Amino acid sequence: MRRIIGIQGWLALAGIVGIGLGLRLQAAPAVSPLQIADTPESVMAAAKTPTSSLDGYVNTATDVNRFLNRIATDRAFASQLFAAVKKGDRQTVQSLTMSTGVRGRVSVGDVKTDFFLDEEFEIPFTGKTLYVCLTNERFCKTESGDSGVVLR
Amino acid sequence: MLAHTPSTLRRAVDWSLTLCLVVIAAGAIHGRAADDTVEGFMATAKAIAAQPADLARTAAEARAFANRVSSDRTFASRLLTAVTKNDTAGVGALLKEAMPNGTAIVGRTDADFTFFAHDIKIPFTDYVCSVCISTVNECAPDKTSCSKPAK
Repeated sequence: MRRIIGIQGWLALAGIVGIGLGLRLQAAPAVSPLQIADTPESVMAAAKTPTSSLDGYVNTATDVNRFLNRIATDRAFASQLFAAVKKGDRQTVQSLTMSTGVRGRVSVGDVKTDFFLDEEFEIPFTGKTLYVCLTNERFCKTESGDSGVVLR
Repeated sequence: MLAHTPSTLRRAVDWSLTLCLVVIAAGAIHGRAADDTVEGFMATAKAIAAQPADLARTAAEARAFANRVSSDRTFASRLLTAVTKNDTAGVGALLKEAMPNGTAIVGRTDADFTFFAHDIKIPFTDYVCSVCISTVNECAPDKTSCSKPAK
């Protein structure tokens, strides 16, 4: 009698506890990622994405400014680039542009004599470009057709 | 009227008109040739060089805020607290602290954590930027961006 109660009792007790535990676990609310409390660390990690995008804007705009300043102040460089534009030599225009320290991708669009040069500087992580156009006529794809820099 | 003037006078008028046309044409050609030189090329570049510099300065101001959040734990913690409490003034003060030269408009903020500030600008430039920070992927890719609003 004592032995039967011992074994069966323990088994029954284990069963009851097991069922109870199972019900309790089933009744417990699911933990969703949205309900995990944010921490300074998670906020810091999330801020890295916008920092990269804005880095792209700062770096590309700085590169374009450096390129234009080089043309504006270095006569030898400006003459080389001007000659390449006059010849319609896009490859030389590309390599002269890159030689000013441009970090991203640049595509040379049209080059025409009398003089017209347009280039697109890709802004990383943003899907945007800086369009740069120099002309002595109104050939540019800017609002007025005049020379300018357009973010697009 | 010219038909009634003596022929010498008529010829003189004709020559004068022709000379005027020649002078005007020469002036136009000269003006264009002056632009189509290395000096003209250099001057054109100089005239537009400030435009990307303005964009770089505005984007750098917005980046200063995002960079401060990503690198300064105390600052990130203060932003988290302000956003969680929906404390607009507190958020504004943090923006000002990280971007002393800039102004911004606080957009959507959610406690689970999404923060968006737009119209970030600095004086004397035409560009504006926006910053979106979210721990729950609530920022569309173009939410952090810069643009030049139409005037």
